[in-house]
Amino acid sequence: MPSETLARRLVRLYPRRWRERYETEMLALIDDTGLDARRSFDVAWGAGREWVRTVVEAPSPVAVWIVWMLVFPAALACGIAFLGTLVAQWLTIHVPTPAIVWLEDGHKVVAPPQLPGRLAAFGPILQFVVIARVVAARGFFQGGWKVGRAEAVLWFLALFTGSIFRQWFDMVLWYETGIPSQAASEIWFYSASSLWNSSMFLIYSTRFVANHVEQRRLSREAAKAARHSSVPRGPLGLA
Amino acid sequence: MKRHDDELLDLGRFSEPALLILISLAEGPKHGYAMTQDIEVVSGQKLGPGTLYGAIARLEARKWIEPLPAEERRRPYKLTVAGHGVLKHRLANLKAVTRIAQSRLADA
Repeated sequence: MPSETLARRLVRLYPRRWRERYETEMLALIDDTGLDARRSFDVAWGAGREWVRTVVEAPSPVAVWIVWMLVFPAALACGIAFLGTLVAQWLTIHVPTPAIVWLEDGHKVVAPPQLPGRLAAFGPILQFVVIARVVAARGFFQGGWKVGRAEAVLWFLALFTGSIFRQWFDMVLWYETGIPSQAASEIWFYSASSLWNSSMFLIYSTRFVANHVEQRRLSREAAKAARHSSVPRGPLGLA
Repeated sequence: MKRHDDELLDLGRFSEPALLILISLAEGPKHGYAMTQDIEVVSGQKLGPGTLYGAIARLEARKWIEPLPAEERRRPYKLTVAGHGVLKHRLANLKAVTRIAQSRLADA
């Protein structure tokens, strides 16, 4: 590929607003200096940094919201699920937990593995405990992410253990019975999407409940203050 | 209130390229290629296009440098009064650090 074409393609990686301002002069600089592997990497890496800067310094809260509430949790879920896949693969090979298959009247009956199945419930329970704890302490999802180190570690453990055991369960079934007929990558993807879905549901439902509780408390306080107000009111309750 | 030299350090990994650009522009207005050439002569560092324009964008956003009218495809930049102040404070800080380091080396 000619270096001029490569330069244009690399500069196209930058955010649009950035390109509108600097594209022409940056291409002129690349024309002057040439484009070797080191400079190509520098330009591509710079594009990544500009995207981060665009989001972090964006005046639009929507962009920040998309990154922090959608992209970041999705990336985290993929990472945690990947670690879970590695551990689950190891467990499947080294810890014998056979899934039993009976053939009754020509039908295949599968008894799911007991241990991974039971342990798979551990993750969601731990997540629930963490959320209950922080909601009881208030201010967790109220107007921001006020997560302490202990909560963050517990939350990570909850997601991680849940992911491991769920994938272990799936892998035992898969290896022993061929049901479900999945590759490890599919089990990983299922786990990642499930982690993301359940976390989003828990976060938003908790936030909704916490906001609702807070609104009711504020309404009660306002009503109480109105009752104790010394301002004389007319027959229609108007001051 | 933050000191000027602290503000330059706020640029994180761009603080060193930004300092080199300010030093280069202290001589007079320059466009991107002239800056990279000058920086290479002064410090021996070859700034890549991504690093150079990353630092330029941050310096311009802080109004420490400002663009001049473009000459064909190349746009020169010049140091502003605020940029001059930032550079002066940063160099004074570096001078103090150098003095201490040299005295410690002499004592050792």
